[in-house]
Amino acid sequence: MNIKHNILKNLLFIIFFLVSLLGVFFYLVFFKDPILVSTQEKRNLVNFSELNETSFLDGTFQTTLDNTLADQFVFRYDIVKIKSILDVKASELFVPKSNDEYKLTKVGDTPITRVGNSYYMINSLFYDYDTNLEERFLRRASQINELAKDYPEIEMYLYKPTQGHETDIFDEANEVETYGKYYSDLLKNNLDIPYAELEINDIDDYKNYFLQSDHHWSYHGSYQGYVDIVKLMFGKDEEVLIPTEFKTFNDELIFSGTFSSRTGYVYPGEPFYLYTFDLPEYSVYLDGKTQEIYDMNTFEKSIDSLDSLYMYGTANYTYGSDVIYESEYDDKETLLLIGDSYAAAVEPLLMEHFSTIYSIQPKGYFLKYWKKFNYDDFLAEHDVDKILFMYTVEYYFYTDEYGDHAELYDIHRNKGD
Amino acid sequence: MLFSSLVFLFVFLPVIIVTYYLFSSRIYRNLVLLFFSLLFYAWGEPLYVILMVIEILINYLLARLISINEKTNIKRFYLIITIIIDLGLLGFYKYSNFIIDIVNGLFGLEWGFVDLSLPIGISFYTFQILSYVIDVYRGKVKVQNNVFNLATYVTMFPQLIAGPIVRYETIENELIDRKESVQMVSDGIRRFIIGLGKKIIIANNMAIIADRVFLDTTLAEYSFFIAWIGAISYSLQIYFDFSGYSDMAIGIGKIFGFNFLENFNYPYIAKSITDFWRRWHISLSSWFRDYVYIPLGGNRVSKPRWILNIMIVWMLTGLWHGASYNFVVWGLYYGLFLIIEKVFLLKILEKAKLINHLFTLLVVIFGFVIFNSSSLDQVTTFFSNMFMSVPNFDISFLETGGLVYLIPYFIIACIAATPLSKNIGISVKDKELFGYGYDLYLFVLLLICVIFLVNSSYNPFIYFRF
Repeated sequence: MNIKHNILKNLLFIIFFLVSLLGVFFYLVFFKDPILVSTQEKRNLVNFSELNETSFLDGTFQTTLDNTLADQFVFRYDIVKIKSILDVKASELFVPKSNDEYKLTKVGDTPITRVGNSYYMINSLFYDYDTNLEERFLRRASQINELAKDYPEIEMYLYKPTQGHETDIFDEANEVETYGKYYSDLLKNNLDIPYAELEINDIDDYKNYFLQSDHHWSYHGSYQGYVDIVKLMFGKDEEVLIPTEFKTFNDELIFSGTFSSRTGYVYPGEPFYLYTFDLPEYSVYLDGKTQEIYDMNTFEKSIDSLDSLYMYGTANYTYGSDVIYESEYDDKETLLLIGDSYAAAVEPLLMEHFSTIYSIQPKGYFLKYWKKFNYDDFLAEHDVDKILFMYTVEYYFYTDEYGDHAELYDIHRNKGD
Repeated sequence: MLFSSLVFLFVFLPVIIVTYYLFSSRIYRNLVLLFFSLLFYAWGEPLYVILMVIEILINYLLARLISINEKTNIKRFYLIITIIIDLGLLGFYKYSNFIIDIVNGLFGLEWGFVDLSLPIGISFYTFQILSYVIDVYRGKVKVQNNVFNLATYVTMFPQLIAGPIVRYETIENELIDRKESVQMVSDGIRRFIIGLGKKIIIANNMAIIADRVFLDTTLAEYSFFIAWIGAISYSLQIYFDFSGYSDMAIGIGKIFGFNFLENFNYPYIAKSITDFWRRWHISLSSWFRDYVYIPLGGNRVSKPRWILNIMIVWMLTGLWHGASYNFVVWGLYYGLFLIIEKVFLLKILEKAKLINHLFTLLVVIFGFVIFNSSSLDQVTTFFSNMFMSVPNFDISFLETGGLVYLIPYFIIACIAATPLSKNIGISVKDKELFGYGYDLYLFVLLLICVIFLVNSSYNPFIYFRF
């Protein structure tokens, strides 16, 4: 290579380097519309801040600028996706995708696994038998039994929406021994009230009942949950609502749930669908105010305002944590439903069987009122015929750096407090 | 500010390059360097920048006093004052709590610890400025009469916070008379990108494995394989982290016309521990050799004194890396091996092909286990897992820990620790077709680094269980 050519080549290299770096920076500062909120990350994104003496001396300006560049970077989510795909492809070099649909593989550096070679995702399986966990399950069973004993006039039921990672259907293929149904059976065997759970007997059940990209159940799963609950509370002969229509939103809406966002959108999302029902007339009250009805039958009204769905709650009518549903039926019973996000999808359907439903999500209740839900106080003030406990396994034991989530779901009473 | 940050990459670096080359005068170019270096330091240490400036002024004055005095005693007096001030400040900020801990332990006292944050890069710039004053005292370099030039040398941002330790004599002439060129700038950028890749793509990923192993509280239950993977990953992490920073510093230096000396030379292909320390953090080991070991008498003393000299130097080398016992043990560990090599082992190793590499690697890896462990218990547990447990090569730890995706980076790191990729790079970069290909490869490397940097801010909401 002659000297002149070499200089030109090097000059081009330098110019390209500088222009591309400065170009991106100037674009971010002067041309790009700042994105304020990330629905995927459920947080405010960082934006350029003003430089002043205080912000520079305490370092906030510097931190903010670095975070702004990262948060507002061009094609940020595409970049996240590229990195996730790189990680997954790298993993597949050593742990290839399996045709065995029971074989689970990790998706990058996340606690998320996926089923076989498909993008059905699932939380990591539970491996450990822990005496502390056992104690917590037994404690809850004992608390519920005591409540049932103290309020014999109220019928109480417990329904557990089983999740994929708490079954033993994946054990053999993955050569692991998880606790499987150990804790479910422990709970069932120690409860004095009727118990039922979502049955997942094989991979087809799992795929049927759960979303591909989220830890929640699908419309099909929540419908099965509803049917199970009705049978549990009213017996096999009670009529259940039958879906009137199966609606898909293939072209209009993609659902990308928590598994999708946590794995960096390796799997971008799934077609969204729902069932509609011939629901009774009902009203919803939150803090004494009537809420606009937002259920499977009315969901389509909001579709124009949604590009895509990132949160299960958006598609499943979560009003809050202390909600009253009143149906058109005056002659039916009153239900106190102690639930979590899984319950929200079932509540509109249960209106067919109750005149009133008090829906309490103890964690949300605590965050709203900064006090734990007290059963004695509530039952003294409200006329309740039935109580249904329906929440996922984590609320029996889970605790982390943000607090003891399970403890909020304990049965808090006046006696002993 | 870190080289491996988006602010540095997209704002600071391009802005300083453009600003620097807007001026043609050497004085203005040096002032641009000085201004941006102070800004670079103040970015992370807005207040400690004042400490550094004061230290520069004191050393500038004392070096001038040393140079204008003819009497050796007076020169020596000023030198001692300089050393006391520089090492005193380093000791105060870096070793106060360690000393309090030792005193409390020895005498059963309960002195409270001092609430001090360590000024970034103080170990590096203290050694740089000391080398200048000592060399002025020794007459090896001329005193710098222009305080701005001296400040430009000490604060020069490429090597300010993570080395290499650039001695004044290395850039004495280049400070006032250097020749920047298109070739140097482009080569500097290329070197910078390579260093950035080492840091972001290799070191940061190796850190994920190493941290998972070293920080795990259930370490004692770990297997043979996990302990070895953790130890090797940390050895790769620290090498690529440190050498990556050195590459970036050398590259940035080149962009502005400076030729810093190499700091790493493929240390993991060394044939002995002696050879390893000729290849690892060269600027530090040569600094201790020239400013501590030789003034102590080097090897021209009695054998016991020579052994003592080596142990002093290596204890100080260990302490330089950090104020805790494990660094002291790590330094003494190397001192011991170097003495054994000098007494008899080196001759045996020279004849034992391949085994010498293996021996060196093992000593180095064990050394880094000591270096990175938080307690003596952890070291013992680590070593017992590495030696006492039943050998197996079960990768389920990586699988269940979601770390399988890091295996390719581990392999890349092992290959990149040898001169293979460098040799390929050298052989193709000046060939017309491959030259463009090499530059394209570097841009892809830069793009991957940006992807990794941007991705690190992605923080999906932990709303996963409820």
